[in-house]
Amino acid sequence: MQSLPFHYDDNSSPGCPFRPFIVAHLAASQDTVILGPQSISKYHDDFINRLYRNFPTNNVRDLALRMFVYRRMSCIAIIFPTDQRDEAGRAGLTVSLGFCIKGNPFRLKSNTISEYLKAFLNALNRTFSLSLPKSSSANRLLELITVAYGFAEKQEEMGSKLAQILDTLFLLGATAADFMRVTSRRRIRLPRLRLTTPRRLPKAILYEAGISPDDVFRIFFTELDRRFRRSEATAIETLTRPKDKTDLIALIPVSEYLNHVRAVKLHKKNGVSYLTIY
Amino acid sequence: MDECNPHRHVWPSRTVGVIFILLASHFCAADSPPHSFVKVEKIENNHLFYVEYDPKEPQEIDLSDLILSGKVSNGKSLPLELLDTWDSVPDFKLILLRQGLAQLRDVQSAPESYRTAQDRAKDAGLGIWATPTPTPTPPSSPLATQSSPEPPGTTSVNDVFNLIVSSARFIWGWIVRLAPVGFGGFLLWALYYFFWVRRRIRLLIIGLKSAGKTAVYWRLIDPTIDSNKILSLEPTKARQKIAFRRHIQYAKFEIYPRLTDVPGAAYSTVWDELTRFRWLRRHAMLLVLAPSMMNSKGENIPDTHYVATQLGYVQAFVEGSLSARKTRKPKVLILFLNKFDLISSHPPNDSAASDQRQVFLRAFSEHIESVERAIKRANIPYRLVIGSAVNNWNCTDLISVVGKLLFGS
Repeated sequence: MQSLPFHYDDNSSPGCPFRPFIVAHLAASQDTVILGPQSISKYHDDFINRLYRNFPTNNVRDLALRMFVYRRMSCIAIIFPTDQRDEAGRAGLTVSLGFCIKGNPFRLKSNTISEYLKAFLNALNRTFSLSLPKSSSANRLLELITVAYGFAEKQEEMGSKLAQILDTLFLLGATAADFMRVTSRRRIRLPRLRLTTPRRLPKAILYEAGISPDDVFRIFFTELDRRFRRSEATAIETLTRPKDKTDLIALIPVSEYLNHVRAVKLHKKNGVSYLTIY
Repeated sequence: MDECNPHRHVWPSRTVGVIFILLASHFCAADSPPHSFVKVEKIENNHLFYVEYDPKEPQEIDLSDLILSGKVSNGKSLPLELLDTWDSVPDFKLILLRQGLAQLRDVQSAPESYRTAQDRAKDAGLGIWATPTPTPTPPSSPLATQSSPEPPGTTSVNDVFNLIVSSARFIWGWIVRLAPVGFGGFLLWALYYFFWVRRRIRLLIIGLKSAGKTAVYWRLIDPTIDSNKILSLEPTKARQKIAFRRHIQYAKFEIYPRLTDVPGAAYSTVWDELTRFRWLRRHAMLLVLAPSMMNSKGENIPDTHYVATQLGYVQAFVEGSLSARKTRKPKVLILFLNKFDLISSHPPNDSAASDQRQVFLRAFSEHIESVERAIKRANIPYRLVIGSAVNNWNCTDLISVVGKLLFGS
């Protein structure tokens, strides 16, 4: 039986390059890795600092997507805001789901990464009867984790469920890795692909307020499913918050990204406009 | 933080300062006497008078072995060739002969160098050896030139020209001499400004969760921040840092604070901050304590459990880090007792809040003792400040307090 937090061995599935993790806010220790590899839990606070770097401390209401490099692994995470409050009555608690990948599995026209993330969400939804990425489901997930921490029996129950999800993800990851290896071997032989250089990862993607989470994911995965330089980090933010009626420039909440902008591109895909900042 | 970026307001004043220092150094340097040089004053009665400037008196050379041209011997003005300045005394006879301004009286007994100089001037047709223009009464001998009158007006034109040339040379000489002084002055000023006047204070804010570290952090960044914004702050998830681009004036020093805020539950991050770059001393440590986790007034204030937990934090991090061998010792420690507004509606300095102040100090007496014990051992200046980040009581002055402890009053 597994208890929480569940820190698994990095070599428990050697064929799988994916290392899933869940980070949730707990009363005692604030943001904690509930599920994650031991390579992350060993440097727990360092990883949390990297995951939430430059994260706003005021009025976090929007879903955020993060990509960063941690100890030679590419990490991709979705940060879900919740409505819950901590013991001091402060709002802004979050749950983060994601995974780290070893190597460089980003190939042109490959959607393995986005599909894996979707599979992770689906597995959580099925196991805990959730409907992620809806915000109410994030509330429920945080509630489940908080309650499980309070009782030893529930901790074991949740631990075993997470272990099941992890097995599924390992299996899926190993299959995906085989696919990626085949793909990459085949493509390396083509001389034209050797000329393609990794593109710069966007610093931020700003999208219109009020669009559905599915569209946000599609935008993010469009950027994600290509090769990129791994030394960068990205985030996705709404251009305007639904309740605010201020103009475009004043509402760009990512001033720290804008300090180092090299290029800005306006895209339109399936009727949704979004701005990519490089 | 747009409020922290008035960079463009600083640079013009700085540029004016640079120019001022540059000019001042020029003017100051102009008062100092130049090094010695030689200058010809006049030629009179077959004698050339020159001055070896500073501090010697005029010296003279006997020119009786030369026959001078009328241009030189009239004593009114000096030829251009003698208006120059020299570092050492040259052979003036040689100069006069070379330019055709004189001829040897006794060629046979004259030294070889003089004869050669005269021959060269003669060949080149310089001065008295110039080919005479057809005039009604051409001079029969070089001696005649000695007494021939020069056309009126020529002398005054030469004078003006000589004056302009000598002035230009004088000014250029000073420019060349003072250039290194000006550059050196600028360099000294730059060193003084950037390494003495401008001070970067690194400030690490630590404390248990919900003690109000982020509130203090934001209050220091923006003293005019709305209280409601502070009350609606969410838990800090990761270490956050900011380097001020505007300075806080303290006496003659311009303090540029660099703040680091650490999540309350991220104990390892605090240790990472305390042990990183061991040889660079973090300037100040700001320990924030609060009587309660809550931000609103209630009955359970001070919260005994929370206060006791903070005592453990103080002992572990302050006493522990100040006595440990491998941690970065701060130069200054400030103990900030936050959330005074929870037990008083008056600021802590107000006489009406003296009772509440005593209650506050009594609640944290063990914490204060622990900190005082640690700073006494480590020999670090320390200050106890009671205030509130929400109401901005004694909060924005924290940088000045650090400045006072670091640089004196």
